[in-house]
Amino acid sequence: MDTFLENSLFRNIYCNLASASENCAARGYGDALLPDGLQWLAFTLTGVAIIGLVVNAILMGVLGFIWFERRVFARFQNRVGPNRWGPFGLLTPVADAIKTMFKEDVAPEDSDRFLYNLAPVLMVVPLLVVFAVIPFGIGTFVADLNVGILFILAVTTMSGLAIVMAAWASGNRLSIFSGLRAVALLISYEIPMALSILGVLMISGSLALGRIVESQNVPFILVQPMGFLVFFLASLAEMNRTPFDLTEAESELAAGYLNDYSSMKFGLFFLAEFMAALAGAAVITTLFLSGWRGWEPVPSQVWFFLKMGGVLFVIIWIRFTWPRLRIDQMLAFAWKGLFELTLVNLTLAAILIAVWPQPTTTQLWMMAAINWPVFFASIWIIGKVMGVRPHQIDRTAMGALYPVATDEPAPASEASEQ
Amino acid sequence: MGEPALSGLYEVSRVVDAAFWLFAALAIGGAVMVVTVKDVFKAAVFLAGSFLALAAIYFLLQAEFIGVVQILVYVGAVSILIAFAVMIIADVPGGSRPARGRIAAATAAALMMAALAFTTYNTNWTDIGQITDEDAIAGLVGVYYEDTSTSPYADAQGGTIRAADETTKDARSGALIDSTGAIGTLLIREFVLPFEILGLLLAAALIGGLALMLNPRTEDK
Amino acid sequence: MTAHDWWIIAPELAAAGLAALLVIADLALRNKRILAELAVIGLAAPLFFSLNLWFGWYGDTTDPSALFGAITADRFALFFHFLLIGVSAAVILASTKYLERMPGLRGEFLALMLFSMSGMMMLVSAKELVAIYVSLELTALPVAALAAFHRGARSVEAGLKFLVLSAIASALLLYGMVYIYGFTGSTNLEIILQRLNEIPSQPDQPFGSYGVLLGVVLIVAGFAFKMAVVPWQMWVPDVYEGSPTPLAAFLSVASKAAAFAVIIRVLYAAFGSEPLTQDWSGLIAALAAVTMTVGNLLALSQKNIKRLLGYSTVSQAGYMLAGVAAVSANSGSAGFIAGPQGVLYYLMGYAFTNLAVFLSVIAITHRTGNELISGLNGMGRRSPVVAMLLTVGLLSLLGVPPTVGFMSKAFVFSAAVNSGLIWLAVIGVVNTAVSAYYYLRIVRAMYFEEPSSDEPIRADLRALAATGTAAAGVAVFGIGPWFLLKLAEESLTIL
Repeated sequence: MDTFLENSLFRNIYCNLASASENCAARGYGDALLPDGLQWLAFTLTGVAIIGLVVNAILMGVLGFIWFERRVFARFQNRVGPNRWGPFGLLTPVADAIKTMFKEDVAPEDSDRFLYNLAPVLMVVPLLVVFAVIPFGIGTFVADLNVGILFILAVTTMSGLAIVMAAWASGNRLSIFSGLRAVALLISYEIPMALSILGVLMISGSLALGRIVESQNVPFILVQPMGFLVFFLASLAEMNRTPFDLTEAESELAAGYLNDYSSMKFGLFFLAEFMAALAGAAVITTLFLSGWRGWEPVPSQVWFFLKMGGVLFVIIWIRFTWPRLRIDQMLAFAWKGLFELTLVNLTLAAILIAVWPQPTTTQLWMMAAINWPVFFASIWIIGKVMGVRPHQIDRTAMGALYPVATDEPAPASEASEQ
Repeated sequence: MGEPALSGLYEVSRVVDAAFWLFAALAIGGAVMVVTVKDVFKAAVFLAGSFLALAAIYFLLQAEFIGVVQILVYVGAVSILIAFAVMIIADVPGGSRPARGRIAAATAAALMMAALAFTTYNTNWTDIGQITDEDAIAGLVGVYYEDTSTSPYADAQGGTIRAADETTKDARSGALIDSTGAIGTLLIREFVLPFEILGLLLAAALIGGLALMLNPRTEDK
Repeated sequence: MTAHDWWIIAPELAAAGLAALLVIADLALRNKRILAELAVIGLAAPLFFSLNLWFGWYGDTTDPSALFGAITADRFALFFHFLLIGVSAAVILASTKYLERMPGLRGEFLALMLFSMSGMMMLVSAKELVAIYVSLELTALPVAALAAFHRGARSVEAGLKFLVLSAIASALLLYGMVYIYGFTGSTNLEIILQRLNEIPSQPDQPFGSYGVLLGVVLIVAGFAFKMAVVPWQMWVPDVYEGSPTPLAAFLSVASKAAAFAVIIRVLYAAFGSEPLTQDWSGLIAALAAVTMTVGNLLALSQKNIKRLLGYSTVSQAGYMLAGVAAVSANSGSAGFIAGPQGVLYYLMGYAFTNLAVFLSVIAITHRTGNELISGLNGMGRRSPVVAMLLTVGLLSLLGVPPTVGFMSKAFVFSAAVNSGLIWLAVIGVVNTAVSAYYYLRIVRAMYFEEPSSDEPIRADLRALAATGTAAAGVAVFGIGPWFLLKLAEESLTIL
């Protein structure tokens, strides 16, 4: 109970609901709404209230993010973007949501109705749960689990199951292809993702996100560049963002597992996709960008959301500048590229931690100084070994198919044919 | 949980009790559905549900680490891989036909269940030596080398031993045990051998799986 | 980890390292024919480290236990290390011809076998329930992959059967361990023994408490799978028939030896206190009687030689269990270790015997491709050397003097009689008489039936050497059992 009451949010709601129990009285709370003996009800209601609060906050955040993404997207393409509803088009996502809700809910006749309806819910719920453990600012969190980061990893894997369920229940081939791809991608990228945070955990000495933030006297993006790169790319893959959005590759699979969903069920998937980006940005901010830490007098929450906005911008940036890759390229990248990089990172971090068990700020800077050259060297070596070369265009082969514009004059024979 | 913590937890205990029964029912119900449902894919999904309910029970027991690993491994990896395998087999919706030995299997399971329940209720667990709840961690951590200074590890791993002693002390004083830290300490001390063998096991499984995949079909003739 | 820890786990580490090395060598080497030779030579490393621990050349070996008491390198463990290394070397030597049929996968085949062997080595030296469980899995998983190696219908059936049944057995084993842990609060065998002595037992409950009863029963049931004891015998013929024959030889000898080692260690080290020994002795004796009888009866009607040998190993496991059950009432006396000593001697002799049988069967069936008993018709003329070696092995399995099979049966049964299990000894002797029918049927086929062709069969020289060594062991240790007996007695100093 004491651990619950240390949380100011919980304390304020609970102690105003429950009668003056000794725990609350000791903290100076007076009259309460509920009679004595109903503490359990107060406890439950408090939980429900907090959940409602957080869920709503996240949903508002998603609306904001959708607007942000569309505006940025428009800038990249030299357009204006949505600007009709509300100031700067801020209400456009609201209009979208209303439109989605009023659409007809069509389900394919052959679909497995139980799984078909369960999948969108299972997709959204884990992502909502993620926000429960993220510290948005000093003392601003729902629960600071002592296994926080593992909890996030565990819960987000469930969205993979949801995708597979949706793909299977829809009962069409393109969806199933997308489900198979989703499994292959998720399983492959989960391994580098989990390994990449081990360096962070070793340095901070804790799995609790609060402690991880507190130990970042130097942002871990500087101390753990390899860990950051791998985690960032792997979480892009986990949240199905371009260039890893093979599960809903429009050009090949129509919309993949989303094919047969309509109305608000589609809306939930849509929501989940943007929520995943938000969650990913929040986790990256917490793990690598020193979370809510910043300089006074700006409040810690503002720092957190600023950093998170920066990460979101990079995610959007990548989405609109990178092409989608093939599935075998993606898997090879995970197993042959990222996996090796995490192993290098892990070994190096273990050695450094053995040398400086509880690093001071200076030692953290020294770790950074060692990590960066190794980072570049291993990227170079892995690139060599993977055989990544600048793409060579076979002009003779292409010339047979398409007329390729060159500076040289066209051969005489071709010219005569034309 | 120690005595002093219990009084403060009284307000919560009814909610926790209700949650336990809910999750227990979900776990058992899910497991029953796995064996009775015809659609193999649904069976895989119910299996995931059952695993999830078990994880929730671990959380109620304040074993957060085990609960999280349960979700990570069983729901996140095992269930998804099962679903993946199911998608490839031929007749999924009617795939799980009633097995011939259904009654025999049910009887065997019931007998096993009865034996376990009978034993659990009739064993005199309270009489177990001097081992109390508070000593549970201590029994694992501190017993084998009671005097850590005589242990051959005293010099080499002084830090680890100190950590273990602190855990023991916490356990004795009835404070909330950091189960994650205790598990970590145990994994690099008492259970380092099984931990390392697991690495070998995974390597062997990987090689075995690859060899089976790469091998062309050749009948043993 | 201290230097002492490293020395103690060196044999197991060397074995696992060798397995990993073979995978890499398979990638790196151009001439893959030498992989098998490389594996056999590499086995010298674990052998050397085991010998070192036995004689105490390097490092401090006065305290055999290491890693917080999770592992020990006592004589008992080392005895089985020698056995396992020897068996693996023989099986690998005999399978060189066999491996040529899978050109791409020699390294993997050998590596998986060695992974399994390293698991067995850890199994026999583990002194802590979690380590025992995990190493049991390490022995089983590569075997499941190897059994399905050919990916034909029968191979897949063999692999799947082994995998599923071993999973069920593991579950039972874990249940048993959980009850024991819950009752005693420890997973270390020594502490379990100590706690079981301290905790007052309930006079009205068997084994002192229902919890211990169920724990011991389930643990024995879990190990019974690996020993191929009766409720678990059904996987044996199918797996032997479907899997590569070298693997069947490996399974029938090494896997069984490791399982017997671990069950002797668990029963004697953790449940070796006085009233408890009598309790589980009865349980094991009943299991032994059922196993030898069922194995023999099922073997009578078999036509496939590998299936027949499968059931034969089941009945042999029954005889050995009789030795495990033979606990004399007064611990500490010379009679107390007579049973286990008999089992150790039996296992060593059985290793020689069964290797001789299996390796000669490999040598023949590899050429003829016919696994029926009628396929052996006239082998006495077509391949006199192999037929002779096979006959020696079969006579030893049957227990004809002066082979090692006779001596070991004599030891085990006399130990059973001495500890008051006369009925068990009688059942054993009757069963031996029954088994004469099917063992001698093979001998008759080889010497008194007309062959389908007169073309002589020449065996591979390396395989012949391994088979010959095994058969020579059968004869030598049958006539002069003292060396092995002394070795077994010395190994049992822990009990």
